[in-house]
Amino acid sequence: MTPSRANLAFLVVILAAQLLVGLGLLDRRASRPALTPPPSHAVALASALGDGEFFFRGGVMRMMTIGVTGGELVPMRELDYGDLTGWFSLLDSFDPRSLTVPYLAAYWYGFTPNTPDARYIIDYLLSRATFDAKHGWRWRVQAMYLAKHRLGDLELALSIAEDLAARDDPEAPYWVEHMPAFMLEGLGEREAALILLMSIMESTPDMSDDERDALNRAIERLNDEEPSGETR
Amino acid sequence: MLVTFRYIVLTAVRDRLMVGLSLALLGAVVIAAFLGESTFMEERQTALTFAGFSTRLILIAGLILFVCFNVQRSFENREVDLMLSRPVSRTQYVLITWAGFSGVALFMALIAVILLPIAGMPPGGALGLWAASLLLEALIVVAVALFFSLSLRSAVASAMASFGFYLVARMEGFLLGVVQADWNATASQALGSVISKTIYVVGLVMPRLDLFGQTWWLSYGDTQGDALMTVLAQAAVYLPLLLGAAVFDFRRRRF
Repeated sequence: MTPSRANLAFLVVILAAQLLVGLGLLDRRASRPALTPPPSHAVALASALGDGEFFFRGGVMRMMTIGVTGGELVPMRELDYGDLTGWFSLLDSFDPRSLTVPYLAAYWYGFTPNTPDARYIIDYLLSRATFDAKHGWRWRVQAMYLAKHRLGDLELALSIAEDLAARDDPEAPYWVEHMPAFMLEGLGEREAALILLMSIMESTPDMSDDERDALNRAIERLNDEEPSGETR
Repeated sequence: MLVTFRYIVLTAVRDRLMVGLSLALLGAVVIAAFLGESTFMEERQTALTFAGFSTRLILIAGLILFVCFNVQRSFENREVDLMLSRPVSRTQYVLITWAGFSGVALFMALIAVILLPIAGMPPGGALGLWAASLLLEALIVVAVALFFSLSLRSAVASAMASFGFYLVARMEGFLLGVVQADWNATASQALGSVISKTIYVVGLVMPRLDLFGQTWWLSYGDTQGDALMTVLAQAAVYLPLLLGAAVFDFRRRRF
């Protein structure tokens, strides 16, 4: 039994209809909320079928694309930073050795236009520093920078700087002891960020290549900014 | 006995399982490598994690479907009757069938291990541990699928039961985490106690597959010292249990 012409015509018409529907939906993405509250550790583990590292890497990919909801972009200032840093802490609990999450917090989400939200990032970085013996000083330095230049809270920045200097951290470079004085200097935000990033790179010779690339990109981004803080 | 073993391997070749699964594994590893490239830091770790997770899922899903539909077809074609008409006991038949499917699982696990370095080169020791763990997990899943295939009449039902078993076993960490949490605080005392005890019993009976094939082994190379012993001990206990149950059920079955 061979297909009739009616069969063939029906298939052609339906295929044409599908092509039209496909063209109509070309720019549509499945919409989803920009950011949901983080799940509990147990639920997160279950969602990754018991593979915590998979949840972590998937979560990092998600943290990199927050705000891209499919058809709509949600700006950083509209994100709930309480939920965001909740996600950071949750992800850290699955892989405390990875530097990706504190890097994202310090060098990306810390620069939110909604400056009061920077306090969430500062709290997160200080919390992260407590269990990161090797890199803890870096997250404290970045928290200090955000406190002074994003939040404008010199008192908080000074207290972090004094804490950092008093720790006598063997992993930290010598210049962290000068941080209290550095905080009191009248440097501009951009200059201070550049000095910090370059100091971190110089004093961390064992930094991985991709991390060094990421910091170089952050420095390039700062160099592309006018001294006023506006991007060219 | 060897005939049955060769027959199962032959059906895997005939069904193009090895070619199909190998292509699926290759696709998964290439996509994982691409995802790793799209991250700004720790590209190798990201790619290896996605590759390790996806290859394991593809391997397990492929083996479950192959075992369930293969066994069902053997019943429908009266191949099982033919095999049992020869001087082979039912116990021997179950064991050699499992061995045949395990041979296929071993081959596919090897393919997965060979393809994995496309995503990134993991440390040698970690790759060995992950490979051993993947193989043991695959052997357990083959035994689970064989048990349900011999027990249930429908291939779809046995495949669904096997997938359900696998999912629960992989979520054991979650279930036990719920028990350890203060469940009574969120439910009525009696209900909380019953649910908690039920989950606890399920946690004791099911294999701890959540401890198998952790992708962080591939990311960082260092592993907990007893990781290999844990998966070996779990497999050493659970494989005989599953095969014993399959033999018990198959011996009661009437043709």
